[in-house]
Amino acid sequence: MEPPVRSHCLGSCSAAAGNMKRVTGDMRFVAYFRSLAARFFHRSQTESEMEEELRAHIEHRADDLERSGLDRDEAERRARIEFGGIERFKEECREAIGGNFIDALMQDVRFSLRMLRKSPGFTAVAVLTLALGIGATAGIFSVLNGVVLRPLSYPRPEQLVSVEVVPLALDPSLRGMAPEDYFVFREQSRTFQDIGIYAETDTDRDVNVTGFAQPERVHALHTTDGVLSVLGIPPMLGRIFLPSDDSPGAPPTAILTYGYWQRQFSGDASAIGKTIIVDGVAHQIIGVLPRAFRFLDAQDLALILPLQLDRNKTYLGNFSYFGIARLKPGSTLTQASADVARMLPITLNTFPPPAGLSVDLLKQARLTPVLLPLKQEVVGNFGTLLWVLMGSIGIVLLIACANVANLLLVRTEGRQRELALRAALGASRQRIAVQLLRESAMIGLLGGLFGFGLACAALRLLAAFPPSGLPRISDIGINSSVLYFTLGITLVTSLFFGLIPALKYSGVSASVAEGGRVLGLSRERHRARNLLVITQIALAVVLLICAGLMVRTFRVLTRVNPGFVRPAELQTFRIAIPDSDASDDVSVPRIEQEIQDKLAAIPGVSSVAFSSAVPLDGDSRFDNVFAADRTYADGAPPPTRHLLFVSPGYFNTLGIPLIAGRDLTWGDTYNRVPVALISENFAREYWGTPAEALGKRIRIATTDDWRQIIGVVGNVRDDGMDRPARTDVYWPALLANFQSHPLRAQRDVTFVIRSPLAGSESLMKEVRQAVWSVDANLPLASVYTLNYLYIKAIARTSFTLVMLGIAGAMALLLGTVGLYGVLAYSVSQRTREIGIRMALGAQRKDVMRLFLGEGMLVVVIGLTIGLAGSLTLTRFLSSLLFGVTATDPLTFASVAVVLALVALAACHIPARRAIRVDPMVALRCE
Amino acid sequence: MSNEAELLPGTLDLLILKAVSLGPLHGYAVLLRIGQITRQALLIEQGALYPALFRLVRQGLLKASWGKSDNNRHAKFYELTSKGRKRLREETEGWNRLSAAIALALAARPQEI
Repeated sequence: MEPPVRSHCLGSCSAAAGNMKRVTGDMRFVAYFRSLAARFFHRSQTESEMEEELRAHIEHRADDLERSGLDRDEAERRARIEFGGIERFKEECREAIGGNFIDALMQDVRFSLRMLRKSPGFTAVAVLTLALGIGATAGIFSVLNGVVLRPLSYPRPEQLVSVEVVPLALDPSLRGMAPEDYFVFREQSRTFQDIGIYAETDTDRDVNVTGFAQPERVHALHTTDGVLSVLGIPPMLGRIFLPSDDSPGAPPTAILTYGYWQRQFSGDASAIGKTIIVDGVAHQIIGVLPRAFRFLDAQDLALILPLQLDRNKTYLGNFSYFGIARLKPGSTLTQASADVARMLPITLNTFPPPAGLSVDLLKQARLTPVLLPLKQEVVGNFGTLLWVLMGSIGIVLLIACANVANLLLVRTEGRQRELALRAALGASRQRIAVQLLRESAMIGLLGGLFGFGLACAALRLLAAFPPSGLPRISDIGINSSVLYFTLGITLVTSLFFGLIPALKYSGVSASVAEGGRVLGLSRERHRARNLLVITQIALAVVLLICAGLMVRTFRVLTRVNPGFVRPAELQTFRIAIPDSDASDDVSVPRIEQEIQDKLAAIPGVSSVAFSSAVPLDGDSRFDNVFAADRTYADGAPPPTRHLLFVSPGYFNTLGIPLIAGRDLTWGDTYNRVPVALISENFAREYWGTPAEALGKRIRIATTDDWRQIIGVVGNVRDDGMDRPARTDVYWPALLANFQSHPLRAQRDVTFVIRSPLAGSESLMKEVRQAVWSVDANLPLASVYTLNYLYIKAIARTSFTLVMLGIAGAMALLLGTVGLYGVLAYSVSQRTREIGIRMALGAQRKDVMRLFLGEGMLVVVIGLTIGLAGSLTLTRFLSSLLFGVTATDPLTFASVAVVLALVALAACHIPARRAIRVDPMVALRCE
Repeated sequence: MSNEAELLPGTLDLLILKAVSLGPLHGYAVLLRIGQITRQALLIEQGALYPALFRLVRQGLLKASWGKSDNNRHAKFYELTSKGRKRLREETEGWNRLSAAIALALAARPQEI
């Protein structure tokens, strides 16, 4: 170290002599990281060091000045002035030390959090509002994602199509696949890799499984060998069907689903090779499907069984199956449709028609192929519903953002002076804007985090109480798409409500000069907030109108007469009498009657009956019914009717009114008297009045006996409250020469019991005892009350109603809060103005009118825009509405009135506060 | 003030390196030393020194440590590292070359073209 060089004018400068540590080695790199780490973890230490160093500089300068004659205080003062702004240089030093991104970020985060903590009320309201909006949106999105957007969980799902044939000329709403089509398509298709058909798993296809401790009725899927291989999911254990398993007469096999395998075989791998007895027939278990396997949307599937269709016994026209196929790579849906259209006439020429039906009749039916992507088949109508919900929740999110933006605007306005000061001290417009943006981002982040938590909780709730009918519930969950979506909307919303105040307030360099006193509100800022409130109100109006329309739909639906009476008192359950228990068809109704009698003996039961189906259970037994007194041209078959096979007393039990004629008797049933009853709409359609229909004769196949109509009963809305009642024909439970069968008994029946105890376990215990006392091998299935089926039928509407109602309520709440907030702030800012007005002679009511008028003006504008918007937007809702038009004036008017009243109340409170201003106090203080 | 030149950007770092090369100094002393070696031709804004010092420390050309000054004050002292020494040498050479070239250019007379 050299001795110091003494300079002339500035006194001594010195080099340190004393204790200095030497830093050894070339450790610049390490030193850099060390300094970084030091700054990160010992932030305050580095800060205080910097502070100390700069102070030392000033002290040294002061020393020099002192030495040149000034007194200490003056010297220090001078030194400080010479140095300039310490803060500014400290900032530059900080930047010089390290452009560590994370470090700067952490600092900003800390700073923003500190600012937010200073006003906890504001932060809480903003974060909560945002959390509500983001949470609801993320929740609905995850449902939308799981149900509509995500592809089905099969390999190459875009190749999977559902294949169906529609008799366009007959009834365009009927769909199905027939075995003859399956055979021909499989052999001759140019566009399918493979195709299979399956029998839909409704309660009609459930099977009895016996041989275990308790007989059980389970859901089974009957498929051809191709169905599982088309889906492409390999079995977890064993194998799936081969063509040999599916050929008629082959030893019956069965495949278990994972759930059933766990339940009945405790997950034992040796289940493969064992036999189970299904409907009295032994099936060998050949495989177990993996845990994640789902067959389309089938719930609680237990077994997969081969259809074993016999080609030689195949007749045309049995469309009770559904088809699924996998396209060849490179084939499109259009090509496949054209291919199927080409093959349909070939099937008509390859297979014989059944007795009583001619090929020409089928040709006249104009069978047309309908090929849909498989996902669409599964999702069905829920797609529209979910998109509507997504839209409405999006609106709620917009309203929430508008609220938060308003809050931020208000708050930033309150910090006007601080911001102006900073701008005057040299902070660039950019820096202020960035800082405002960061605070907004912080709010957005917090809101997003809480919102995400809300969404998770809501989904948990949904999983516990799923709305019935919603497909693919198991596919709904929080996954990466939902995460990205939540992140995305958090960012976008933060940007949105962050930019508004940032843009507006980053250029207030001039207002400090005004002395910082604001006499009234600047027009421009007021306009921005009013605009936001107008938007909120308009959006809330749209949502409320949608909710109102759903309310009306719901009311109309629940008012519709279903055709039966007091469904909550009707307990139903289903049994199927297998061949092994009653090989002779004649004994089937005897067993059923015995059960009916035993059930009627239960105390509290007022009536019992059974039928092949009950209303709303999804039964789809249809056939063409010919009337004797009509002529049918060869090409025009009669419309199909819903067929039911009932016991005497069925109508009485259900409360279906007998309009003309009489009910069936057991004598009719056992003696196979050719009689039938029809529904009122059928009678009116053909014969004008119910009385005229009595005595007329009807039949189905040309080889059937003619059956006489002995009674006409009321219509039943079997297909749902929003669809017209089906035309029904009721036949006895035992028939001779019917549908080309010499004798027909109804083995699958649903029993209906009217009792005030319906739905209770105590009743069902007695019921089971009664049934098993007749036949211990009969498991009971589909144990519901009719009310349950009724609620399920309107489930889609009630679900939509609840969701839209929640959205509308949230929108109303947020909009009202926004309106109140803006007006309240306006009042608080204009206290002085109010004071002046009152001092100049304004009455209380004048002030009240002033503020009420201001508030209501905003409301009226918002209302008008909202009503106008609704006129155009509600048409998207029309597929969900029933009994009310999308532009229903009553709904529109009531929403307008309700909103106006609520808004008036919201404006009233701050207006009242305005009139309570004491002019003396207002004028005296700032 | 007319005989004071304006500081070209980047030259402050060079001056600091030179000042410190003559012996470890604390911030204020560096200021004084620069004034000294330039014979007061260059005046440096006091606070602007420190960001430059911090920058040089980050680049590894200076190293800093706390110690006691002449006035018995706790102060941070800076001294050159070997890398700094090397950089000083290089920059000086470069500067000399540059200024020679410019001086030559500025002295060119019409006849010499």
